[in-house]
Amino acid sequence: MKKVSKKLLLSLAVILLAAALWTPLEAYADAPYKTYTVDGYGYVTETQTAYLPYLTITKVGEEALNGPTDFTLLDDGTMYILDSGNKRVVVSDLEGNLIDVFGEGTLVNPKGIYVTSEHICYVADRDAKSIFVFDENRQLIQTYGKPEHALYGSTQDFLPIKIVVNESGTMYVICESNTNGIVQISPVEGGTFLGYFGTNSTNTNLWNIVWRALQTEAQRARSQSNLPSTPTNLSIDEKGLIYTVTAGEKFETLKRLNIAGINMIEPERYDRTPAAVAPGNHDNVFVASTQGYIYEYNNEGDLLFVFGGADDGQQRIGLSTRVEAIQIGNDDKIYVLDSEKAQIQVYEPTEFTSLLHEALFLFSKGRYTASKEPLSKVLEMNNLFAYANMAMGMALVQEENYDDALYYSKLSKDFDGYSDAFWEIRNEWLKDYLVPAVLIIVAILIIKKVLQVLDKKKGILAGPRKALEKFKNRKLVRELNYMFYFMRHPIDGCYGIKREGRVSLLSANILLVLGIVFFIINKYFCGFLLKTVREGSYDIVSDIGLLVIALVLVTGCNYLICTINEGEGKLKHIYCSFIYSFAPYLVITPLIFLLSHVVTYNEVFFVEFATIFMYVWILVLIFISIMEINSYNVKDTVKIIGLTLFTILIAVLLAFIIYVLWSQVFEFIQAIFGEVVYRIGS
Amino acid sequence: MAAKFERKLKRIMALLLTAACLITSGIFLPQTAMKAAAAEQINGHSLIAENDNYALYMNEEYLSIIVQDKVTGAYMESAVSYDDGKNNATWSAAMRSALVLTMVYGTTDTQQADLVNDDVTKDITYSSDGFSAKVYWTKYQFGMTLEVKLTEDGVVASIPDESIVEDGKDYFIGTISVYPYMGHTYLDEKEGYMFIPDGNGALIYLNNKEGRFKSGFTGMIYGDDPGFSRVSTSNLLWQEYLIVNNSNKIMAPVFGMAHTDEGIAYLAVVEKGAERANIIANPNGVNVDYNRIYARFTQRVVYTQYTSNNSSSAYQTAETNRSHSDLQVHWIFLRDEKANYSGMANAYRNYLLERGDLTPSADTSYNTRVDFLGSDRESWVVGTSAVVMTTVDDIRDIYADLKDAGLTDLFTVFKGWQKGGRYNLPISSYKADSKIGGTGDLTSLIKDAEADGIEFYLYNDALRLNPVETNSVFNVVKQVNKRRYSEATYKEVYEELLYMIPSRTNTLLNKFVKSYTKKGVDNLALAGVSNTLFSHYYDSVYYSRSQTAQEYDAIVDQVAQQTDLVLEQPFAYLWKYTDAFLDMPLYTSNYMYEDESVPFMSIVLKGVMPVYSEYVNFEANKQEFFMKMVETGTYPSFYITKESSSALVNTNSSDVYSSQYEVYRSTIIDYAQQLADINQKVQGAYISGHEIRDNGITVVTYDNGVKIYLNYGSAEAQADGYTIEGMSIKVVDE
Repeated sequence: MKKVSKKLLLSLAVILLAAALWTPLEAYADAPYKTYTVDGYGYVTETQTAYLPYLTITKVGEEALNGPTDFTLLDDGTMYILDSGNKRVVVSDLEGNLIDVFGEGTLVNPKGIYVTSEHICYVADRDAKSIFVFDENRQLIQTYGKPEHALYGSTQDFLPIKIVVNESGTMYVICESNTNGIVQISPVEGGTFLGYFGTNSTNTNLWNIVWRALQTEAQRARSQSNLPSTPTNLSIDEKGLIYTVTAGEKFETLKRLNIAGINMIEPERYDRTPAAVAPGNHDNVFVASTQGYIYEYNNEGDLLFVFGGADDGQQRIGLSTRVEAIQIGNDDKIYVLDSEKAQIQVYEPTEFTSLLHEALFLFSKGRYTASKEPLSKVLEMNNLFAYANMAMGMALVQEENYDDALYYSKLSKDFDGYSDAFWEIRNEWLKDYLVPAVLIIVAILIIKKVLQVLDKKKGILAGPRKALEKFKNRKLVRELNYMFYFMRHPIDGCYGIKREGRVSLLSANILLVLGIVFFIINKYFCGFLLKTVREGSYDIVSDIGLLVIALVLVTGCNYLICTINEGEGKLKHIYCSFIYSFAPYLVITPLIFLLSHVVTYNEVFFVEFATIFMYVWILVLIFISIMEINSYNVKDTVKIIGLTLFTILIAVLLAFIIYVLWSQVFEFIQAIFGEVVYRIGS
Repeated sequence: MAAKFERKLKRIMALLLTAACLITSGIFLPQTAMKAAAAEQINGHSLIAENDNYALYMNEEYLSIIVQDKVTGAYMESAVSYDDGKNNATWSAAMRSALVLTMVYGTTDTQQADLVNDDVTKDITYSSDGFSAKVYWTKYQFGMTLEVKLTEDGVVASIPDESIVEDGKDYFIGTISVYPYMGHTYLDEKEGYMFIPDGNGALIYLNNKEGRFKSGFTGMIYGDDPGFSRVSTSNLLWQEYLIVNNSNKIMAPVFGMAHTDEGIAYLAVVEKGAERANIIANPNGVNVDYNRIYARFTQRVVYTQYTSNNSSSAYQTAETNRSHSDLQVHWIFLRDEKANYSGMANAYRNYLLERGDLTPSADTSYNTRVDFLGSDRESWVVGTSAVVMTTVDDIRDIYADLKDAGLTDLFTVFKGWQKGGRYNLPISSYKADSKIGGTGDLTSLIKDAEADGIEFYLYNDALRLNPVETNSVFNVVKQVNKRRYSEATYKEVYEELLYMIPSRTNTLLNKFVKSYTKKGVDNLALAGVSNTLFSHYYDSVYYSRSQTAQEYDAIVDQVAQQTDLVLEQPFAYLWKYTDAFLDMPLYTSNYMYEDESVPFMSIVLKGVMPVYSEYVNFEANKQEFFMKMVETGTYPSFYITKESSSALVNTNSSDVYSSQYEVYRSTIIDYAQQLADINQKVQGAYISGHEIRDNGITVVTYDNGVKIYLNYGSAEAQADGYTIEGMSIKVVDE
């Protein structure tokens, strides 16, 4: 007999959130794909596997699928799969057991299906040019054909491919090659056309507008028409909001449309070839791309996860070949229909994702403090998860723990959160230090006054003053100091540069270097709210390179243009006057830099104003410099500036052409050489 | 007298001689008799050799064989005896021929050569234990000698390298498959499975696949060859991010076939030529309706030769010289209760131990592996700046803290300790980064840790070179198309890493080990060379993967003599040098055709050496992973930093998204308590059996009698009279 001692009998049951969802054998514990998330800076970082492949349904009962194109998953766990290749609807449970088959003989080339919670089934049949409605007993009860309505357009064909239906029975139909938008049909009187809905905007740009303006009428007719894209797929949530995805666009491929057809979501990351969209259970949205990438967004459109991928023939579970539809189960499982593999791949959320969903739910209900617990667990598993950091920051602001909030909002680049927290912290600081600070300033003023009085009476500062004078009178110092004069008196200043030799190349170069240093410091070390680059990323070489190239181009081209336009300026004078025109930059940037560390969004206006003021000043100085150095009048100067800009354009173009040509030649020679070497070598 | 005696002696001698002759012939008599009586045939194959365990049958025409287990009578065939009549001539030939070749003709490499459809001259010589057949394809003008020998445990087929001749100018040998249909089955005629060494191990059942799979498993032993591979960008998310994980590398040159209903199975070991061979497992429905698994040796491939740097111009060409190495497959047959995957794993362990390819470690007791990351670099205004994650003092504090919690059985690999951080590669001398405390501090930490019984290893990737930090013009691996091999990191600070040639690795590693051991410390964790194998060009000489393997073998051998060495996910030919196995994969690559994941590698190595898991940090389902560690007898690994891992976001270690000690402290202590208890009971024991019952209960049996029951399901289940709750483990000591 087996002896089982109590000590040796180890039972290691651990209570876990997701444990209850697990069933044996089908679950795979390792995914063939990575999961990424996007942080506030738009940077993509890896994270814990969000969803694991759970089950693959390749057959429903004994029925094999043939090129299925759409399916609907109901809350009661029934799946209606549109088995397009076999021209029928297959009804299945969540494990792939067959419940029913219908629609054979009626359907011609069905493309889309929608089933209401009462099991009323709508099938969009493209080649039958109809929408078939089956009741819960699988009986055909209604057929909708092409809407007879002037607004629909009599020449417009009716090729329905995707459909959803709202609670009142209004159908939203995507029709192939109908670019007017989603067709809205009311069930009254055997189908009443209500109008178009959620029309995509056309994608145009400045170049197209200019180009089309230049074309003749005939050319315009011949050229590809700029029509909005037809949405690829759509979905509807419990509130009746319509989600659409559109392939082939760069932006706005995912939309959430309210009743009025207004888009209410603008994600930062889109997929270029989305296939389907489905709302989740936590105010989240899922998008599946044709290649098999699956995106999960929160209701703001922030990308929480992207995972999955294309199967390049390796046949790994969880990778897809051609995705057609996506549905989300009650338990947050993701169901993805692959037409080429003729299967439904089920993914289940991991512990990590379950925690995140819990936080998402609490957060959306405004229960910030309660959401802290799942959030901190999420952050334990991934310190860098932007959404969790952002939410944590906001929860902490609620709790008035501003120092920590600052840390989290900085991590997630949540500017608003950072600004709020920082305002509070600054407020505290001001409360504590305002009085001492005022006192210190008053004290300094008094000391200064006393010193001045003493100096007047006894001349105690004569020594240092003399030294300062001496220092100021050194040639280089004088030349550098000229900057302050130049920015206030540009016309006289230019005279000084041109005739009196008040500046030298050395001083100009020193100012240039200073300017570059200021630029870099300001770019990379300014206050968080005004920073344009990501914390910790540096690209100094190209910064300096760009500045120097720009300066050389502007100075050089301007000089060339001036010499052939009777300008009096020498290259040195033009160069120096340009550099000195940037004097306001050297004076104001440090101020902006300091200011950037203390402002919140409430006062950011000051910084913006200072910046604009500075650039206007610089432009005025440059204009006057060109005019004065070359002795032009205003009209000439405008002309010269225009010509200079044109020359710069030509120079850049030329450089580009030469570069392209040379790289071609170089490549050609290299290819010949390479081939000769390898042929002879082998 | 003397003459008489001499005569007598001569007579006796003659008698003795006659007797000896008679006895000798007597010994052979039964055999000749049997051969004569070898009307005993199976499916057109005649008996040619036998021993106590097995009988070998052979068909002269196609050289196909049948191996029969004399105890059970079950046998396995190398040629298809039942033809379903659906196959064309080429496939039919492949199903019968002992040798199936693909040829390189111009730039095509798919045409088949075999012993059925082609004109072949055969010269067969028989020996007591098998035969040797010299075959020559007259049209294609190449040939080779196939030697087949029956052994006590199965059968060995080999092709000596020098026997392969290529006389023609048009046709060259591309690949050679030896007995590709050995042990095949038709659709679901037999129960059983094929075993493939994917990850820890996977099974493909011999059931009817109903044509669901267009292709089966093809994996190069010891991973794909970087010397030939091309970087594909097709599978990148937004053309930028690597999203599909690389499939697992095959760590050991083995595969298997089990006919469980007949109680016969084999484990095949690719004994020679494994460095350039693929394991191919095709379930029914892939071209033909037969399940088959075999090794395919590559001799020559067609590759793309670029003639410009940006890959815009290129031409296809075949390798000029074939790779040189003997080719040999050893089918070890198993019977009855051993004819399954745990039997295969046990057979492989014994095989390795007997041959000295695996040496049991002195200490296999439980340790929690707590690895540390010292520092990495992030871009700064000029160059890079250090991101210090864990200093030597931090490690001391953590050790002290764990000791307070009662945890001293620790094993540490310290990464990113070297000057310049984690990716300042290669490491050529023992110089710790001053930011983490410097060399002196590190040395004293190692010594103190040792005194406390903590095994502390320094991590050294002896393969990779960082071209930003180190001059990289010379001594780096060039692919067969003479382009420099570069491994993309898909990270921002250092975008690529290069591979060093083995001789450079040797020089630098020797230098490092010398300066390291001089300080009186000698624990080394070696990575890179432990699990990478490539062919390459250096100084216009081609070096094959076998040569690289030999060089690495010598290098690691030498290092192992000077240090206490552990290897990161090592390939089988290096197992004998390592004191522990780091980063054992516990799963497979998730191929659709895989029906079951089995812990083959773990069964082989459990009890032989300590086996440590991949990092627990990055597992999304922690509880399941924990159970998997118990199932496989694997010890847990943690990747720990003192600072929060958010500091790593701008470094090349940005994939380390969770590692802070504070976060993992309780998990480390909890796991250690639970796992130490379980592993105490199986200390030094081997896993003798592993099965997955119909109700989903997994049962692991150790050779000391301990049984572990695991229930991965959510509902409780019964096994052997015990009730195992959902998601729980029961350990039973008989």
